[in-house]
Amino acid sequence: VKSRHRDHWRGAAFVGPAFCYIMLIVIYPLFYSLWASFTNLRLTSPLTSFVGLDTYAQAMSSEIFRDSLLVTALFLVTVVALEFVLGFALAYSFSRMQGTHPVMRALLLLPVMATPVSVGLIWKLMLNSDFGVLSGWSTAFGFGPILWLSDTGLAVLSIVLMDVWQWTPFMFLILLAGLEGLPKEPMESAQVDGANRWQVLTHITIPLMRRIIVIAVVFRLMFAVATFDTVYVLTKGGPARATDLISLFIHREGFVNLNIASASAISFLVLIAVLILTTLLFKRELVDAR
Amino acid sequence: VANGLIVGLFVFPLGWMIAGAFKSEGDLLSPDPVWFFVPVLDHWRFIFENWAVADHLLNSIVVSVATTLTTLTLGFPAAYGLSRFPLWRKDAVLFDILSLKMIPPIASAVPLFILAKQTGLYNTHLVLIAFNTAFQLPFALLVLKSFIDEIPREIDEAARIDGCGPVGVMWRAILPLSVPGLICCALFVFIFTWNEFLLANVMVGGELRPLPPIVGLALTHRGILWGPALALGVVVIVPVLALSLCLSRYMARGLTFGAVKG
Repeated sequence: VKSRHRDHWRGAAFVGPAFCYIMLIVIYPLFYSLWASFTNLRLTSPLTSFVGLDTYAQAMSSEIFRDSLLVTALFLVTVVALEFVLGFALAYSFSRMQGTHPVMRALLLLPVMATPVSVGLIWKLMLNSDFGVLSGWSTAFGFGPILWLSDTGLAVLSIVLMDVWQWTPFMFLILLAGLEGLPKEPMESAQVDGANRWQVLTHITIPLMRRIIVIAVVFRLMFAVATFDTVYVLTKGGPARATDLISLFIHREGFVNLNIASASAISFLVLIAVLILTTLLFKRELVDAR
Repeated sequence: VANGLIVGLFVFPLGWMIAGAFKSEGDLLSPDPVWFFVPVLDHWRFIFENWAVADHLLNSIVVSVATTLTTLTLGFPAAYGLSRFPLWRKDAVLFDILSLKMIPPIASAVPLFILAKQTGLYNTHLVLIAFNTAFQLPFALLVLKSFIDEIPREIDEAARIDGCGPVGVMWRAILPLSVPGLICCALFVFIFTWNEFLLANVMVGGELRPLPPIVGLALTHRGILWGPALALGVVVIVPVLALSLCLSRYMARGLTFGAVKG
């Protein structure tokens, strides 16, 4: 018992420095946001006083904030669903082929790692209505140029398109790792029993992949909440706030309007939402896995 | 063949940007996409002469290399501790580390900006290195732990019999066997830090800026200079693409922080 106790202290000594440093830099902002959200702190005015829940009330009643929440929710649901379906289809078709060339797999992953500002730049170029390659093609087919980035509906479609391009390979990769790790016997015996390919997929393969599907979807969802650089470069939230994701909203409140109180209140709400969602969706899977 | 086509679809936009950086202004801005062209270096000359790209490139290298080194230095002992020792409420600690990584950086950017102002570290490379290290540590801990978990316990035992204490075991037995894990982790941390835009954009200004905010600036002004902007985008992205190709074997593990072994 005594040596077990000593081992706990040894573990703490190794983990401690890194853990405390993370806590300092990552937890401190949490408390700061909480404090600032109850004040009327602005970088432009020296006077700060406590205003209770006023900042939250203002945010909730602000149409700009509600629109931003709505766009964010729409974006999250659309991209995660699309990327999951496409990623799964792709992983499934790759896993059925014998020996996918590793170079192909490596190339497919480039969009995930690519610098996000450059990704924004790439799509700003391709979606340009005057000389973008996508407009060029639509003109060639007789439709005339498409105003991807200046029409509100098409702008939302543009950021979805960019995100699907960037992140489908991520879903693909994780789901492929899952598919390749599955035992072969259950599928084979089901086929012997007369199940067709679709039945094997929905009744055996997908249930067996539950854990990996949860990991892929939760990771993707959380990274999608953080989407900022790409959209900032491509549309900057426009036109007419059509693509004003919550991250762009916080950035504008904090660093353009210098309204620290409002930016903090919303940051805090996002933090809490992310932590609750992660815990609800993920804790059991993660603890099971280790 | 179908799969090759799909891969082509995902690679095409990257190739299109790289090609664009070598097109003349006329070819680049032509309403009909130009597929065959005579490469020109005008945009490259422009960005090195007018936008001081060499300096910003150096900033990016300094910040990314320093962040990678501090992250590994702090992260490796911690990952060893997490892998080999019991800890009070260990599952909870591991879960906390993971959920910290899930927090969108924008949610902590404002408080960190004020912290940087108050400590006088605003507008230094040090502040970027310090904050990036904190943001990359949860990732490094989990990935390194997943590598150390794969080293058999007999190795520790043998080192202990040779008279090593816990630090000796880590230093003499685990570290040499962790080299592939450390390299993999280092490359990921380097890429993530290299790609980082938000902190780099708000914490430092002017000539101290790394590359990504420079791309951002080139694009958000009116009257974008497309050629130079594309050349700049290529400068940022090429090292990342090259390193990613080396990492493809570890990609699944890296992108899920060790939760999936690819």
